[in-house]
Amino acid sequence: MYIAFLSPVVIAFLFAYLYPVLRTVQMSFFKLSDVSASRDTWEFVGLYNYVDLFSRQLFRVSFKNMALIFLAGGALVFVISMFFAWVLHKGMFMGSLWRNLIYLPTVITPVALITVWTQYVYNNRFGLLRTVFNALGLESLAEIPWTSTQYSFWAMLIAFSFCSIGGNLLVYMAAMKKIPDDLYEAAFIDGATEGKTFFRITLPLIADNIKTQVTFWTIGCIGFFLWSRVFSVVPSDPTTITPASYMYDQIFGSAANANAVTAGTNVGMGAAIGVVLCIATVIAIAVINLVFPKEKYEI
Amino acid sequence: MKKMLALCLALTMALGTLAGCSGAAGSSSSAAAASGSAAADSASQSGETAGKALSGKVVYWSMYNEGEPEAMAIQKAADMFMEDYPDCEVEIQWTGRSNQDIVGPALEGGEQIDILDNFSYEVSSDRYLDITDMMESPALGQEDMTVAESLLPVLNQYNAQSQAKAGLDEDKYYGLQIAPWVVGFFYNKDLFEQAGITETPTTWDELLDACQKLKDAGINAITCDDAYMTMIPNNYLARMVGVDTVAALSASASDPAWQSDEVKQTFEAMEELSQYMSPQTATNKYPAGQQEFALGEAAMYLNASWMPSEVADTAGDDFPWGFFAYPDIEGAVLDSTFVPAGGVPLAVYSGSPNPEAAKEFLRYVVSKEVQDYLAEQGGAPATVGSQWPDARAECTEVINAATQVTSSNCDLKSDFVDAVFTIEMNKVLTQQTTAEQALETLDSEAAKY
Amino acid sequence: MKQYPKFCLRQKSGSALRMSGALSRAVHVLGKVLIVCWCAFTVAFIAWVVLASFTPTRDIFQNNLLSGGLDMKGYTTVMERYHIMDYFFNSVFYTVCACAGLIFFCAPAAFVMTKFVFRGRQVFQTLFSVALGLPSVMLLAPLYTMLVKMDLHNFRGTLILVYLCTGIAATTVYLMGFFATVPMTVFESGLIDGCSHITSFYRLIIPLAKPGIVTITIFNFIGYWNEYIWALVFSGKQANRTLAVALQTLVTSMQTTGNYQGLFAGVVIVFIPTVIIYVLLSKQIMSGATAGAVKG
Repeated sequence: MYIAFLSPVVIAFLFAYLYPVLRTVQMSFFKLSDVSASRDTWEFVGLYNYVDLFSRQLFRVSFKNMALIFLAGGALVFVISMFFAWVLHKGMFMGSLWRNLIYLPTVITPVALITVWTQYVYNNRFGLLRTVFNALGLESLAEIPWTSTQYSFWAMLIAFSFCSIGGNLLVYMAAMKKIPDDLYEAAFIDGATEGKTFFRITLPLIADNIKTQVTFWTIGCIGFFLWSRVFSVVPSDPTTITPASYMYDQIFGSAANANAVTAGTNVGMGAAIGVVLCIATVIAIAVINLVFPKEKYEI
Repeated sequence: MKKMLALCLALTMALGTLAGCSGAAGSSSSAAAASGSAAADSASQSGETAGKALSGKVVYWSMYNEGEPEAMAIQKAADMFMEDYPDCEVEIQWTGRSNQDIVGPALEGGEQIDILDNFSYEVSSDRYLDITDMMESPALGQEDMTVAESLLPVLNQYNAQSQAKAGLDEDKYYGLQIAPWVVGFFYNKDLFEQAGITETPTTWDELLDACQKLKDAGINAITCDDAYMTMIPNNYLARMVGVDTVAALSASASDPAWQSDEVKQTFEAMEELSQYMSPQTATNKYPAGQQEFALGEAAMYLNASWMPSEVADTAGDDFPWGFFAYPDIEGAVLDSTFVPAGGVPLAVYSGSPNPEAAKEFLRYVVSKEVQDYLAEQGGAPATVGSQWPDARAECTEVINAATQVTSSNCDLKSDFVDAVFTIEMNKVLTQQTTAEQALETLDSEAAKY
Repeated sequence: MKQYPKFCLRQKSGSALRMSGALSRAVHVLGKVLIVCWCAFTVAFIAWVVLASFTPTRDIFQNNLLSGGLDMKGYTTVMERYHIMDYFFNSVFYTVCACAGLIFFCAPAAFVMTKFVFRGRQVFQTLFSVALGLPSVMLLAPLYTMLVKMDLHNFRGTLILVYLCTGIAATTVYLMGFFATVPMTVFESGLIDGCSHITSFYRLIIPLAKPGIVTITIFNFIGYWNEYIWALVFSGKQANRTLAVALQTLVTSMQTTGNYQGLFAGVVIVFIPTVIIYVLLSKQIMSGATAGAVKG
């Protein structure tokens, strides 16, 4: 029975995960300029790719960007989605309508979303943000040049967070709904304030869900790729570059625009970035497992 | 911890076995390549003996999308080719600009692709078949010239330079270039007239004068987009220092040339120019700046000659297009015969099972009839003597005057250039920083690269 | 602590909604206002794209949306010249096959991995969780070379195969969380009644796990509908491509020809199906997420 139930998945796993990963690890020790170069043209260079990689300023910058997305974006998404979940949980007229609307961006293809953010929302003449801030009389906010080099990282982060909140909100709301009433009842009778019940009852009881969401967020940040690429037209723009996008440039080459020919590639180093990212993932998951409390509350 | 250890152990073991089997796979694929080239040899011999009786299938995965002028012209070439050689079939996949991501692996996997495009010779330089014999045979429709002679000299020069960079013999042809482009200032003739400018600027000072006149007339002189802004300073710097120094600047962030007066002067020139840039420039996200130009809200835009098609819908048919070369700079090493220009490379795959037919098909693509048809559809023809379409009529002059070509970023390219120089330069041009501050940043960041 | 039967959870009575203190009530009102603004923003965002797809390019950049009435040119170009509907049906085919296949293979595996103790189980669980975190760019090149050696490129089934293989990690991990809540006794009672393991699983466990399966399928559906990188590399021939890849091609093509109306029309055609599915199935998504949230 184990064999019948497990084997397709295990075979698929070996095929689609284990082999490619091992192959990438192997490539990271070789010098090869083209991803489709045949095996006999590879040149063994040992750890050189890793040494070279860590000496590159652009890689360090990309790692810093990733960390910033993880921390700043993570905090933003967590606080807003938790707050909205609480508000909606406590009750609001037409609650499901609002919930659905907040979730909506999650189901739209990212390429379309990014196009609209850069071409419309942040537009310096008729952009949505500019219009809104002007209507509110907040001239200084309306004047922010969102897509200039100075702000483009934050513009990207805000756009990305905006589209990530829906998923988190849904999970937190669902988790809050699972908490039995009589706990709140008891707290209420004991005269606990709303803040107290939130931090003492709600948060600990949904800690497991938070852990899952944080894990997903971590994974998302480590693989952060599409937004960084589509948001900046300049290849390897240090303001928005992330390790995954740097890796893609090294493996497949970066094209400055639709009419330009790609620049040279360094596949071995790209593979090395992949390995570093994998290690980062393992470490991050281990840390998350350590940080979150082990004890489980049965509901 | 124990678990992790076991996992690592398992991984290392698997890696060992993998290295073994992949080695075997590698040798088998090289054997396949060898047999492929043997097949090519025999095919070329039989092609010569059989003369014009070609047969078989030619497969081309194209970077163009259905509906684009270039795609329509290439399709026409294929139709003409199949009519003349009824035993041949041309199969074209319009894969779009992303084709470079998929063609390499597909070739490796044994997919038949005979015509390659949008590649860089430096990547897998053994992929391209020597097509010199075809290039030196008479051109189709202009039998008094060879195919090479019938193409714009700039394209052949660009091709030779690209081949040389990849260590290929410059005197041979491993590919040919179509869809020529050239960089220069597009300008709005009506706005120039409105500001009282009668002649297009040919020197840097005249450019500044023209900008001042435009500014006095209340017109934004120059606009740009993030994607193309780097062209403005790069052209200036390359003209100032020459090709060899540009190579040195690209090679190392600590090269003494970064401290030179020329670099300093470039920053100062951009600072001076920045007062004439449209205030939108700082926040323009491609294509916002182009649209600004097409809507008649700015007078100049430095870009390659493909720009009119990128804004065709907004500009409309009656837009007063004008074009002039990047102006001469006093004291510069190079003048306006040094121009960023080039084309899109086409080549025959060295492992093609049907190289003669593939070469013949390329001859059809660059035939006068096809290239003239391309011009009618709004594309840029590669053959000499073909008239460029209206909006780009003035580009012809600039591309014909060019004697030395360079890439669109003037070959100034490195991590340091992308991450520091370009960004600082953009800030100077958009008045977010001064030349002095930018140079300081350049100095302090250089050590990190 | 006492286990609550399912029907109790639906009935939210007063106390959880009761609010103590003026401050928290004020915060709540503020939250409501923010949510309304947030949603207004989303609506404006989507409405703009839809309106832009009906507006000629020149007017889009002057922000005169719909000044010339409804202009359908964008849609006709996209459908007639770019055959977007062909890609649409390709996408439907790939997505449906991948979603169905994933459940077929992953549900039994997830069940075994949560409910039975066997050697290596812990390793499987860890490996699958780690696999979730791998950047897909990393798997791309070796996987392609391998599939090509097996002569599977340019074949419609390949993309489905790739989706199945790379989707197992996420689906299995999600379903594992879900099966943890399904009581084992049901399965055992099936065995006692003389069913085989497989019949017992499909007859008794799957119906219980339906909410979880529906949810992960919806998520998978949306994910694969919007998926880009795998589809680009593995769908090969133009005729086999998905809508997302066609959209990216369309976007570059429209940019080089400056037809932003067509660009936005393409964007609308791509996102309308997911939005409709979402509107129709939002109840299921919600109840599914609720069910999934019990895991721990």
